[in-house]
Amino acid sequence: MATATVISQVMSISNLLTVPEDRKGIGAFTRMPPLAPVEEGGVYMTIRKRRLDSWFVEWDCHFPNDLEIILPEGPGEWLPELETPEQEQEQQQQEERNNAEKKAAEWMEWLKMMVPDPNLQWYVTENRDEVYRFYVNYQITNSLWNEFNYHPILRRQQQSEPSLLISLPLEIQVKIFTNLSTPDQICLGLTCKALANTSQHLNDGEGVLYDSSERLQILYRLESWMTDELRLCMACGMYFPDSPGFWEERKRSGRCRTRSMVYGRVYEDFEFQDQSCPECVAATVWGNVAISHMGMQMAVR
Amino acid sequence: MATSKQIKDPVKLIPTIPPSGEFDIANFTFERKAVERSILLKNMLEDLGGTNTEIPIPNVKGDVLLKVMDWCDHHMNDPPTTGDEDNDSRRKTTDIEEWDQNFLQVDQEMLFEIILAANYLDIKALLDIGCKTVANMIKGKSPEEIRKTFNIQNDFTPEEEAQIRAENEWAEE
Repeated sequence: MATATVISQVMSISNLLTVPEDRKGIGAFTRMPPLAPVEEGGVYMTIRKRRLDSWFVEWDCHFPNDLEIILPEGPGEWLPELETPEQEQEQQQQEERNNAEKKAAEWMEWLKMMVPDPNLQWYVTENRDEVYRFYVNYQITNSLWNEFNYHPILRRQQQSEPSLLISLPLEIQVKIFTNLSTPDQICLGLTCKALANTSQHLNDGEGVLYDSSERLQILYRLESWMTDELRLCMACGMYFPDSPGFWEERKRSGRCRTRSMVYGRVYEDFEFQDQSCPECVAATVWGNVAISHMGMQMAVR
Repeated sequence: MATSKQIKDPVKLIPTIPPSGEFDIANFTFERKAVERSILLKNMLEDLGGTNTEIPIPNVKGDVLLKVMDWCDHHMNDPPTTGDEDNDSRRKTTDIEEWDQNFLQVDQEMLFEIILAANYLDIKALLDIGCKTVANMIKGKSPEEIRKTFNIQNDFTPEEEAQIRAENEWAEE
């Protein structure tokens, strides 16, 4: 029964899988190998490069840890929204795309190897921004899904034993915590929820306590735990997004912390300099300007 | 090993989980003074009086018991701990004697078994150096490195991690 509903669902949306007439020859479709014949029960499966994440690094599965499989959730997601790229951009990006296509071909080889079914044909239907879509038979997609997602999780639960450290009694875990410095306590508490809970029992139930003198040291230690987009400002002791867009938006919305009159006149102002965020840099520079201005006034008198 | 020496006042410990390999009860005969490093066994011996010198040890594997008693043998003449050392002065000193360091150079499973056994048998000094050894394995490592060292699975979702960053004012995103 369940299969029947799935197939009927897929059939109803299978017409979405064809390339629309007005889009033929546009964007990624021009470089595409011939599209897979749209059969009943066909769906797109997306494989995209993912950020390296500890979850995946530690998985003992065959799936490359920098890829993830996304199955479509709704019909709206099925065909990529493509814009007509200008010819100049097209030329500039041609090289990158060639590399991407090579990589897609490698992945296709890998998929063929993982699913040794001679009746199955793989087609790359889109590759841009490290997103690759492959056209596969629905049943195979399901088996892939089970193989790479369901299986490893199950295996992980069945095979990998819980960490010996977590299985220690609470009082021993607390004892280990008390032998550590504050930054180490925080790092240990951030490894998993069980140890995070243990860290709540420290200092008579107050949790991990630290003062401002330790803050920078702690933040510095947490650099690898932060996401790639965040960067530490050593001046204000906080992680901020590295992208200039964030700082531009802050200035635009009036949340910027510096009173500098010249901050933001050029786009480079919104970039990190050394280990300081743009606003701290601007504040320092503006402070220096103000002091030298006062000095000059004193000299003139 | 305890057996190689002349034992003046022998006490037999009988592990309910025998060690791997051939089990010889002679290997589990120890000096009373060494056995009394364990507060649990010391109290037990006092309760039993001087006549009965055979004590069954549940919960501790034979191999681990031998290792623990090896430590007790080496430390049997140490002055007893005052028991009032849980203060901050001791807190961050994770120096371990060289002999103890070599003694605890075992695989992780054995190390944790020794810690559990020391906890069960109430051998405070051994429990302390066990915890210090684990602490030394953690020191200076990032959360990810700690996870790798102890085979811990990260069960935080990215959203939860973002929440931790926001709550502690570590990041503004």
